[in-house]
This record gives sequence, C-alpha cells and structure tokens, in this order.
Amino acid sequence: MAMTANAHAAHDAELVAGLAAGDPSGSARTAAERLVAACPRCAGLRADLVAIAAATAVLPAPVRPRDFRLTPADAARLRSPWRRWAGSLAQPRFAFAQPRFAFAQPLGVALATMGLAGLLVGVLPSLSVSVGSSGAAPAPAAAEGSASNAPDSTPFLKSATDAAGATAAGKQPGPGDASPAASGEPLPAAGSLAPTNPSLAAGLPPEAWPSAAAVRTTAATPDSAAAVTQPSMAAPVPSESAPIVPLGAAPMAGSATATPGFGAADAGPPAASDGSAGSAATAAGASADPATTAQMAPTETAAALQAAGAESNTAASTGPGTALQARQPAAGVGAPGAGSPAANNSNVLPLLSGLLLLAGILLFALRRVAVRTIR
Amino acid sequence: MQDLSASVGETDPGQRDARLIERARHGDLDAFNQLVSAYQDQLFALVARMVPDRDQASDVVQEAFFSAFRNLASFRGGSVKSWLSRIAVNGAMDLQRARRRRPVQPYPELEDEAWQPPSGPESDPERRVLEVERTRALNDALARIAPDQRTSIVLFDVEGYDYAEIAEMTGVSLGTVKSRIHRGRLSLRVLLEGRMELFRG
Repeated sequence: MAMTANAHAAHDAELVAGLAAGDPSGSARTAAERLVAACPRCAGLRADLVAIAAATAVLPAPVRPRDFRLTPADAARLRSPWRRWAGSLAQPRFAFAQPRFAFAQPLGVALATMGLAGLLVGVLPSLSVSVGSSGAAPAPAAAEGSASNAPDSTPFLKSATDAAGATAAGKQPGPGDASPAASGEPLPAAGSLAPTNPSLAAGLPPEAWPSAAAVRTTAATPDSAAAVTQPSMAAPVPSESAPIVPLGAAPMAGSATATPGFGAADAGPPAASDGSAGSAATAAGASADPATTAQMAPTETAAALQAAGAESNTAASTGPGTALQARQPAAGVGAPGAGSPAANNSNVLPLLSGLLLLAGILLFALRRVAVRTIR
Repeated sequence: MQDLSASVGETDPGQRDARLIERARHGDLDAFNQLVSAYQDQLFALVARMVPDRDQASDVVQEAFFSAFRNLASFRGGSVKSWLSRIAVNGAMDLQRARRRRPVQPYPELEDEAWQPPSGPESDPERRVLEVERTRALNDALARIAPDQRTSIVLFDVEGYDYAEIAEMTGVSLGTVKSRIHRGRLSLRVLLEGRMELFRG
C-alpha cells in the first residue's frame, strides 16, 4: 500500500524505533508491525535504525592514552585518616549513602528550617522588648483608663500601664496590703507592677508621667516602690492558712479571698477591700514570686496563664482584667522568676529549636558526605 | 600486560576479581592494580565515548579508580566490572552536566588517528576507508546528540548492558532508558541522513 509523505509524518517514529530495538510486545508490537508493513518509509526507518545500532555496537574502542594503575603515593594519599573516616560512612554498616536514606537530606533541611524558625520566634520578642523599651513613649491611654490603647505594645510596658490603669481608675490599695505601708512610703499594691510607676503613686496625671524607660529605671532601684523587687514579696508564703485561688477564675478583682494567698507573710490581715488594685497586687505578685506560683496547681496555673493571655487584649481600666493584665508579662518574656513554668516555657523553645537546627544540619551533612564518598 | 589469570591462579574472571578485591581490601596495592590493568581499557573506551575530551575522559577514569580504591569496603560482591563502570559513568555524567553549562567543541579528538579502528593486514584498502568513514560519521553524530541519550546508547549498544542495569547506573526509570535509546537512535538517523549509504549493506 502506497503512503504519502504527509501520512508518514503522522506516524509514530518512536514506535518504529521500539520495534527496531525489539522492545514492544502484545498489541503495541502488532501495531508497530502493521505500521511498518503499511508504510515503506517506516520500513526504511526501521532498517536504518537497525543498521545504526549494529554500527554502534562495533565502534572501535578508543585507545587508552596512559596507564591508570595507582602508585604507592596515590595509595598513601587515598588511605589518609580523613579519607578512611569518610569512606566508612559509605560502608554497609553505616548505610547512610543507600538510596533508602535519600529522605535524610530533605528531612535535615526541614528540621533545620523549623529550628531556625523556632529560634527566631523565641529570640525576636526579647530583642524587641530591649529595643522598644529604649524609645518608648509615655502611656497616654492610661489617662482614659484603658491601658490596652497605650502606644507601647511591649509586654513589660504594657503590664506597667495596665496596672497603672488599674490604679488610676481610683483603686487605692489598702494599708494592709504590703510592707511598704509600714515604712510610710506611698502605698503600692503588693506585688503589683503598678507601683513601678511612681507617678501613679504620687497621684500625678498621666501626662506628667516619665517615659517608659524612666519608669523601668525607677522600678529597678532598690528604693522604689516596686513590690516585685522587695524581698518581703519574694519570701516563701505559708500556704496552710491561705486559700489558693485560681487567678484566671477570680470572679471579683480585689476580693479578700485572693489577697491572703499572697500577702500572708507580709501584712497580716487581708485588706484590699477597696477594689481591684489589691487583686492586681496579688495577681502580679503571684506570678513574679516563684513560691507563690509553685503553690498553684498546674491546672490552676495554666488557667491563670490562659486567662491572662486572653484578657491582655481587653480594656483594663477596671475589674478583674486589670489584675490579670498586670500579671501577664510575668508569663511573658521579661518576667522575673526564673523557676516559674512561664519562664521555663520561654527557655524551652529556643533550646528545642537549637536542637532541631543542630540535628537538621547534622543529618543533611552526614547524608551528603556519605553520598559523595560512595561515588 | 601481564597474564592476570595466571598471576592469581584463577580462570573465571569473577573468581579472580573476588580474590583480588579481597586482597586489595587488606591493603594489597598490587592486587588492586591488577584489577586496574584488567579493566582500564574498557573503562576508558566507555568514558571516552561519553566525554568529548580525551584528557577529561582520562581524568574521569583515573578518578574512578581512585574512588574505587577509597571505597573498596563498600563493594558488596557481584560484578567488579559493573561496579567500576557505575563509578566511571557517574563521573562522566557529572562532567557532562558541568560541560552543559560550559559547552565546547565536541570531540576534537576525532581528528586523532588513534581513534580509528585498527586495521589488519587482511583488510582491503577500500573496505578500510569505508569503515573509517562510517566510524567517523557515527562518532560525529554521537557527539551531537543529547548527553543522556548518548550515555544510554553507549551503555546499551556498545557496552552491552541491559535496560535494568542502565537504569540503575544512571538513576532513572527503565522506561526512561528505553525512551532515551529510541530517541537517541532517531536523532542519529536524522544526523546521518545524507550518509546512510555508509551503513546500508
């Protein structure tokens, strides 16, 4: 049967090539043979391909230009300790170069990426705190009684302004709240971060507050009213007589039941009958004080932390949210109390991330060295 | 070249190679060099068809033997020739990949008479000229097809490996090997379009 050139152009040349190599079987072979029988040009193509394959098979071997035998110097160089070690990676007992361990390289990359991301997540917030605190502006929002509107969003300052908001809302702590009351100083809320801003204790309007950096500096001085730095607040608390109240579940800020749990050693009878400032003192002090935190059951601590996190975004002018917000930074980055679970959590993430990063790099490098060695 | 079979007292190449490998693993450089002597011609012929430059082909073969010596412990039995060929093919493919980024004039050594087939005294001049022309045309065409196709064709048609062995050596599927060979032959046929009379009859 005569076929036109156009018809041949539509034929499957690779099928003919497969037939020339003897590859196709079954229906494919039948189709190829039918095609070759029907199209003379396909038949010619098949004959040419067979001839080319035959000629390729008898190609003369190129002449070797030199001798490739190893000299003793080559052998000594190839037997160096490093080479031996690298070669051992490719040995069957190590097997790390085998194809079934091909996943090791991408897995190593993934682990290293996760570790790097974890490190960034764990380290960047603390960096932002240290950077942000130097240029922080006063918190004018506190004047409106809403600390959540403060321009500075760093955890430390937020807590300070939150607590400040609580205090500015007209909640003055009672005289029995904390030991500073006995020394005649302006009465801070016991254990609260609110007193770290002396302007509040002095009754200054928010516009007259010093900068946040100044607030922090003041709070760090031994003479300041910052209750968190006072030894009496960090002292172990006898817990027998003090009912432990879950902070996140405290129904009423400044309730008398919450205060003794913290201040029993400091001020005797529970005070804070005047509102949420006492509760703020208790909540913040409890978080800052490892002993007090340790008294809390794990579930209670978790609930308290969760509540603190949930309420940190709400207006904190009054009510229990004030107290809990003041405590929130204690669970965050810059909190004191290294033994607290919150502090442990902040340390665990970078540690785990570093381990992940290290493991990923190791995995990647081992596989790479093993593969290159076996070649 | 010395008679290797006599030197190790073996007639079967497989047994001979196994004994030599075992001795080389224990630090016997002479045993390893006997393996080199046995396979260096084949390895160079294989690599020289894959790598356009003779000097580079020599380097690849030398590096393949270095690599084999370094990794004697990783040899797990089987054909020593296949093991050495796999190492050399890997080296040649690496070089091809590198050359793809820096293309050069392919096969300048085609002008080298050392590439031409050895002629016996029984060859008549006309036939010899025909063979020379055919070899030159085929080498030229082989140098112009894709490196992957060239490697598969050399391993299949010249070295005689089957599809599965080539797939293992080159790290691709069996279907890919077949496809490369078929397409490579079709490409050769296109390149040899005007000179097919050298191959017919």
